Amino acid sequence: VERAVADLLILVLMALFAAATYAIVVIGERAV
Amino acid sequence: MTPQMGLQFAVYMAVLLLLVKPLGEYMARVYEGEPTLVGRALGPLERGTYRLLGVDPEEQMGWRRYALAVLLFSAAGLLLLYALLRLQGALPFNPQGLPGMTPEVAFNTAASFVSNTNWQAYGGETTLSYLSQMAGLTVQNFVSAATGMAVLVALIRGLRARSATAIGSFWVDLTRSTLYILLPLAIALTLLQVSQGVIQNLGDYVTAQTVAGGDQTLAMGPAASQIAIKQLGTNGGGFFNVNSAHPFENPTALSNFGEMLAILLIPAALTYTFGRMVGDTRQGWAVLAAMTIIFVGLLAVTGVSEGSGNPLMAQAGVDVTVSELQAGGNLEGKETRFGITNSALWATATTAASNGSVNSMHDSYTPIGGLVPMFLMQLGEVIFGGVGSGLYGMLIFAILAVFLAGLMVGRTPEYLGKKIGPREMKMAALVILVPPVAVLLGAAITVMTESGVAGVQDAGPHGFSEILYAFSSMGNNNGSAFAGYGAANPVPAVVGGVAMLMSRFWIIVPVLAIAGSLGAKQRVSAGLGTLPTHTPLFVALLIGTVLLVGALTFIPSLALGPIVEHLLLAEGRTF
Repeated sequence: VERAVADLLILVLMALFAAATYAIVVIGERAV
Repeated sequence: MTPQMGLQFAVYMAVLLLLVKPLGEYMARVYEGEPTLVGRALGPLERGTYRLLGVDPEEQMGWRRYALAVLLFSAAGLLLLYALLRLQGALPFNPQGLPGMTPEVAFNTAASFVSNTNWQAYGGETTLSYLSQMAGLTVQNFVSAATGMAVLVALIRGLRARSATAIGSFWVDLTRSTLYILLPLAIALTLLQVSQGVIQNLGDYVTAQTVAGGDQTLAMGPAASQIAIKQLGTNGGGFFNVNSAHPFENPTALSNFGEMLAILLIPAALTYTFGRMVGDTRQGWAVLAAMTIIFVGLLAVTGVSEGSGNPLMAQAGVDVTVSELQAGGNLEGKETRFGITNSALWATATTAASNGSVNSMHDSYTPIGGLVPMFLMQLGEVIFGGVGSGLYGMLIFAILAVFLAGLMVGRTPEYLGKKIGPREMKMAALVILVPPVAVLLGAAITVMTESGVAGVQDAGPHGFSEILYAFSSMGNNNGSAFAGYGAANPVPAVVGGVAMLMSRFWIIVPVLAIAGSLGAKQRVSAGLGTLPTHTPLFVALLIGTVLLVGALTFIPSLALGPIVEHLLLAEGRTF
């Protein structure tokens, strides 16, 4: 169970990173 | 520096620089879609790949679409690799029955290989199945390198375009980089390595009897094919834990020379490709000159520092001088078959490029000898740097250099006929600031947590150097380790994983934004007030900009680590 929770947290972390990266694309587009 | 050391350095540089033009010309032909011998042989494979994946090779992408393709492709790679590493225990090609990685180390490793960092928080032979090595890590060695090359080519297209919004197709650039450049070179280097004794098999580990009568397990595996691309793609992740210090990974002087050459080969040659593609090869030579001058200067510092050895040893009566009878100097952590010269050369090359493979343990270097690899990474991996990423990083520094020159004379800066405006400068600032944030914040969080400092091996400033080196490596997508620091604990593994992703993808996006922005601008003719960017003056300006930004950002933290350690060494204290 502990490992499954850790897997889930890692996936959430990846999703958060992806969202932040997409935000940079949007900000970049506005700047450009 | 001994004459032998100087001669070996000179031979290495001469061979490297001689290969720049032919390989750079070939790569330009590949990206321009011009006919080549390899292209004729592998053309059907390229076209078949597009058909299979439903890619239109004629599609021209704007920068946003190009960036999303890069991000989606990398995100898919990250998830697949994470799943593979977690589930390897239930998958085939696992003769040792190794279990799946822990979640935090699997995340760190997946982030590491997708971002072309190849930092290793694990030991290959004790952690990874053959399937994970071949289908996971080796595949990422190819495609993460090809991604960097594709982004560079997109930036070059933006720089040379005459008012165009498209910067090419990511899928075409990715396929051509892999198929026509990385794959043929990797096959050639694999064969050279196998001829030198590097192993390539899928057999069980072998138990051998030592001379002393004990048993020793010898790890096996498909090492040669992974080692070739690890060097050519500036990946650096070793098949074995001790990387290219392992006799099965790098057994002879020739295998060592081949691997060292492969580290800088593509990044150096891409400068010529850049010059050829923008229609003025002098531009490429100027960038190469700036890279070479910084590299040779810092190589000499490492060589002299390691050749001089530890002064405390000499004070204790140990003969550390170089002579016909002994290597002398600081041989701790180095393989006797490579000696100080080829260890120092490798350490400098691997950290100048964002390679990160090692043939000696950097933790055992003298304080100044260890400072140089750390500083080379902190410069942003632009002194040759990673394949593609090194040159696009250096071109951002070139844009910053012309901006600074413009400020001095009060003119709007231009680079290759493109006016550099506030939008490009904002994006360039982001590119330059993201790695220091990843390095300094990551190191700060780590030294403040129990889990972070638990992996430190040594006390005092050397212990701090181990942490700073680890984050300089991860935060600049290098991947080499100081060897004394274990980053498999949860905090450094997760923080490091995020740092690697940040310094890869939060740089790629603004670089592509610059490509799109510059591509849409008209080219202006050079006037009397235009700063020529192919002259020795510009080379000096570029070198000054790179060194100044690196020094201002990192000297305070270096002062707490290797600099204070060096000063304490002079007082007789060692760590």
